[in-house]
Parts: sequence; C-alpha cells; structure tokens
Amino acid sequence: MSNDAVSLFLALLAVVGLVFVAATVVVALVARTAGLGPKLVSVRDGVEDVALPFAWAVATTCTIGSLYMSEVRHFTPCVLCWYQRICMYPLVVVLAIAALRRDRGVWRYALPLAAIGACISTYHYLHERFPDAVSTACDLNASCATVWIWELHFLSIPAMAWVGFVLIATLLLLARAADRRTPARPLHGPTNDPDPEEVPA
Amino acid sequence: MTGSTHKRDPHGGADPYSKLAEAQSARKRTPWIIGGAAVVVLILALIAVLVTTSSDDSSGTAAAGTGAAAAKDAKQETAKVEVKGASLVQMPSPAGDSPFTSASTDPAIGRQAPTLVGESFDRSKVTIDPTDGIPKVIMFVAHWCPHCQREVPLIQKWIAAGNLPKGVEIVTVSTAVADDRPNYPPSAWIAKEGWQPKVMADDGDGTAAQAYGLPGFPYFVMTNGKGEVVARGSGEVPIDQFAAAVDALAKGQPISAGA
Repeated sequence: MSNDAVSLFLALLAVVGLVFVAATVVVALVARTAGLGPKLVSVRDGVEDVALPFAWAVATTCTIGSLYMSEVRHFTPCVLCWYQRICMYPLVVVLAIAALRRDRGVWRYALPLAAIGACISTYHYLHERFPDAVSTACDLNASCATVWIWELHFLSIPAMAWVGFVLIATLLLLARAADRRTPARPLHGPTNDPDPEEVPA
Repeated sequence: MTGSTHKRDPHGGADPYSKLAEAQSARKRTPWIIGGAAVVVLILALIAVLVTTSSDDSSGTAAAGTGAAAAKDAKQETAKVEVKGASLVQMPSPAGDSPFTSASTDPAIGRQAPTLVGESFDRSKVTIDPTDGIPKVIMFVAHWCPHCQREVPLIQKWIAAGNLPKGVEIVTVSTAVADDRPNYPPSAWIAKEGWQPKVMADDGDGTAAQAYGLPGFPYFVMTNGKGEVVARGSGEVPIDQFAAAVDALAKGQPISAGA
C-alpha cells in the first residue's frame, strides 16, 4: 500500500466511523421517542456485545495510524498532536483489559480520556482551518496549523483523531447502556458498585 | 406499570431463563458482527488502493516564462544560490496595525538589498537584481506553510485581474524545502496555483532567505529601483493591504503610510 493509499484508507475508516456515530445517535433518539422494534433491539444488543472490543480496535487503529504518520512518514508531531496522543495511547491498554474482562464499567475511566481528546482534536482542527486566529506567519518549525494530510475535502489528521475519540466515546456509552440495562458483572470477580436497577423503588 | 416492573426485574420478565437465551443469541450474533466489520475494513482498503493507483496527476497549462511554467518542467526543487552584496539583518516585528516595517523600527530600511543569482525549478537562470531600476516585491514562501498556501492564490488572483501596477515586479523565492513536509514538492504547488511571477529555488541551507533576513513565512521585501529596501513584512497580508503597499511602491510613497 502506498502512502496515499494508507491516508485514504484511514480517511475512509473515519467516514465509516462518522456514519456509525450518526446512526447510533439516530437510533438512540428513536429509542427515546418511539421505542425500538425487535429487529433494531437485536442489532443494538449485538453491537453492545462487541462495543468494548470495537472500542479497543478503534484506539489501536488510531495509535498505529499516529505512529505510522510520525515514524514511517516522518511527520513531526506538534504540541497538540502530543496532547491527543496522551489521551489515545493509554486507551489501547485500558480498553484491551476491559474487553478481556468484559468490564463495561470501564467507561468511567476511558470516557473522560476520549472526551478530553475530542476537545483537543476540535481545537486542533479549528487551528488548521483558521490559522490566522492564532498566528499569521509560519516559523521554521512545524506548527500546529500545518496540514499534513487532507483527504475527502474535510479530513485532516486531527479530524480523523476526533472521529476516533468520538467513536470510542460512543462505543463506551453503548457499553454503559448495556451495563445499566442488564447488570452484567466482570468475569473475574464482582464490583462493589450498587446496581441502581436492583434497588427497590 | 408493567413496563416499570419489567425495568426493575433483573431477569427481564416472568421467564428467568430469558437472559440466558439472549446471551446465547448474542454469542451467535457476535461472529457475524465482527466478520461484517472485517469485510467493511477490507473493502475500504481495496477502495483506497484502487483509487490511489488509478489517479493521475493532471495539472493545467501555464504561460511560458512564468513561475508555473518553470515549475511544470521541474528538474530540481532546490538550487545553488549566489549572494552578491551585504546581507540584511533579520526583520524585527512591525509596530502598529501595518504588517510592514517602517524606517523607525527596521534598520534594513534604506539599506541596499543583495543581488541573488540562482536557478528556477527547470534549471533556467534567475537573477534577482534590486538595482536594475525596477521596484520589486521579493516574496519568500515555504511549500509546507499554510499561510503561504493561503496567500499565494490570493496574490495570483490579484495579479491575474490585472492589478499589478506597471513598472513593479514580483519575484518569488521558494525556500525551506523539505521532502518530509506537506505539499511537497514546491514545484507542483507553484504549477497548480498557476503562479505567474518568476520563482528562484533556494538551496537547502536557505542561503537566499538568510541573506534577506527572513523571520517567518510568507516574507516580503520591497525594494525601490535603486535596490534600497523600502519595507519588509512577514506573515499573511490581507490582499487589500498588499495591494495598497504595491501601489505605494509603484508611486514611490512610504509603504507604512500607504498600507
């Protein structure tokens, strides 16, 4: 695969991620208002079952993609890139352990990281799109406004990172919803958290 | 009421084994979902490979003698540059709202700008001689700089609309070239933008840029016909301010007041 093909592949993955997030939001709205039919319930349950492994796969893909950009293509990470890496890289380990233990309560630890990462990605993307808002000139070093990749007329590296963070957050929220609906316990021991659904009304 | 009862019932209704059945059903679904996701990823990879191998580089035509024409026939991205004359000190930050320096803030104002002798992308000789009697705007750009990428098409559009005053020349130096940075090679960028002014390719050490005291990108040095520096500016300049400065240069007026 050429460098261009890898960039386009990552961008296409990001588009699929965006579509998934949009579809999840629509289904969640429908569930709140009209309720879900048996087929949609089945699909929802199926997705919730694999939410944690998929969240791990997204974090791993983002991490490999990030390392590919800096170590293979030698794009110099800027300060904001590093902040996003700080949020993304630990998720690979945390979500791997959670997926193996089927610990849906991991959203308590992973969701803040994904949310902070998405905020930084948003700022970085706006910095790229409106560089004048921060500075009007480039110095000799790579600045955060440098657009290394521009795919499908809207996806740069921070935009793809944003999709990654939001996708992980969405999958964690799905895992959380399943956790609240069916009080599943980690395979390797119970947690001490009280289950709200087991509390008598 | 039934709904709320169902919600509080951890077993999901009258059948205590319904969750077990659901779990078994979920186990059957999981391989299909993972397999489906893997197929989607493979299809995306195939699309990416097919699209990138079938796309060809098609750039428009460029008028002969322009920077874009030399860039279309590029044989090099950097070239040796010879500097004749004393180098300018690095440009200080401009004071006030004007993007350009004035005599009170910039010690290079009124100094003789050095002559640069080098080559363009197509190895044709390019000489930037500020003492040739023609007022000049010498513009330094870096292919990877987003501010240069925004400024170049604005100025090109302004030139193409016939706004460049007669008797003023714009020349460009492509500097800070790095093949591991975005928008490489600079020749492809210049060709794509249809950039009319002549382009000199700076060497890998940025000799031309250093000789003119470059502080950042884009960088403008304006000289009068005698080769004296009239104004310098760095960073993105709004096109109306750029136009006002060039008009003032053509009329021999102070740039800061005109811009």
